[in-house]
Amino acid sequence: MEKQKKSAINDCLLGIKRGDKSYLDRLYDLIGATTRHIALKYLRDDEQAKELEQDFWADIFRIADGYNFIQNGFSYLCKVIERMAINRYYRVRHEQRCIVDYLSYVDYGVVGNFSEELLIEEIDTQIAVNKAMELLTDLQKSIIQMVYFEEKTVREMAKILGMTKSTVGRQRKEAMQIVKQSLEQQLHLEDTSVHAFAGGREDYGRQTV
Amino acid sequence: MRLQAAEKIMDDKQFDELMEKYVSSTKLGKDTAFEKLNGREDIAPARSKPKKRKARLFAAISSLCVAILALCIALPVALVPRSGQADGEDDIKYLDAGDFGVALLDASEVRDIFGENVLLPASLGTDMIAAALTSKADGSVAAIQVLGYAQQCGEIEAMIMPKGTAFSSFSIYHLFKNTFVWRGSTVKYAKSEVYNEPPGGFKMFFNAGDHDYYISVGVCETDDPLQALNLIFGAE
Repeated sequence: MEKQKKSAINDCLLGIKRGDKSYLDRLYDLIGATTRHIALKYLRDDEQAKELEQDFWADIFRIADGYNFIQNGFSYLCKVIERMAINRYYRVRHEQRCIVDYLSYVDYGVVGNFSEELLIEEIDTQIAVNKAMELLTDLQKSIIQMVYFEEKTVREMAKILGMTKSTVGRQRKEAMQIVKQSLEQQLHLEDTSVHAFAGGREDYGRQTV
Repeated sequence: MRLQAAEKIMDDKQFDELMEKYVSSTKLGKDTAFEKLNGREDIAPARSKPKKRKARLFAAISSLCVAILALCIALPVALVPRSGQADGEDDIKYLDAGDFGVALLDASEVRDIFGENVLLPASLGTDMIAAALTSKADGSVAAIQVLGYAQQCGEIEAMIMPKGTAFSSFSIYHLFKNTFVWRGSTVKYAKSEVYNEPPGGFKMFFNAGDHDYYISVGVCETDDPLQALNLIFGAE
């Protein structure tokens, strides 16, 4: 994680801890995707995840109150929502233990409820990346999501997955390459289809004249 | 950045930007996420700690982790009852270690248990390992041990206990003759080579607020114990 982002999250937490509501929007911008991802990852139910996230934000002043300046604010918040998710899991499923499968990933292609705040280009991006993610193995999907949603380092992922750093690093590189290639291909096809469509209209126009 | 506008050959920076945009697009949206928050009348910060909830959380963690550190930490120690706190540092009673269990904690939970004012080794960052010693009888926390490695001070072990309580194995700390004042507290210390440990280390005892601190430092880059404490806890 960039130092700047890390420090911004810490600042927001300290601001909220002091009772300053103006930091809420900024904190949401910084970690909103991560909190939702963790909620979905554990609960595997969009409605439950939404409830959990609302509870998390409703409780944010108390959560911030438990934060101290020497902690990594991002890790602290991730741990808090993980615990909240596990507790909810117990309540909802009445199960003795929450089995956390670290090889699991969130299929945003299935979740697919676009926020009303999204721009069309962001929806385009989401569709393109979801399509690219379909080409990955489960392990690679998990790794890509851990990198981009949870900001995990290779070392942390290796520890979580019980693999060597080199294996995780290789899988990460390969996964990124596949997604990148797919995105390039999609962009290229999109360009081609736009040209073909334009050409077709041109031809049609000529015929009718 | 519109997808159509992207370069055919995407470099790592462009890819990262695209992925960040993707991640950002998966948010729930502020209106929905803040629905309950905005619906609450008591939106003001809650400064008070929900003690009962935290106590329950702690009890749950304890039950899961008791066996993990018991052999390596609990066996050589004995504890003083919290109710029998002494008025002076030298007036300490000892109890049987068998009455206590060990539970791993998240670093963030230490303050939940011992309060906001407890001093934690800032030099360990979030990589510190924390464990609580809890009474098997009532689950109350008798001590918190914090362990970790800091580049400037080597291995750091801090045992934090409510004022007037101590492990029997730490009684030696009260015999140290050398003292200095740090943040208004008198620190008793000894250089660890006296006890045939690697040179440059320290053992230190001090009281701050409601807690006593027993600090053991492996190999510190400074020969000055005051400077060592500043390295461990951060200069005030």
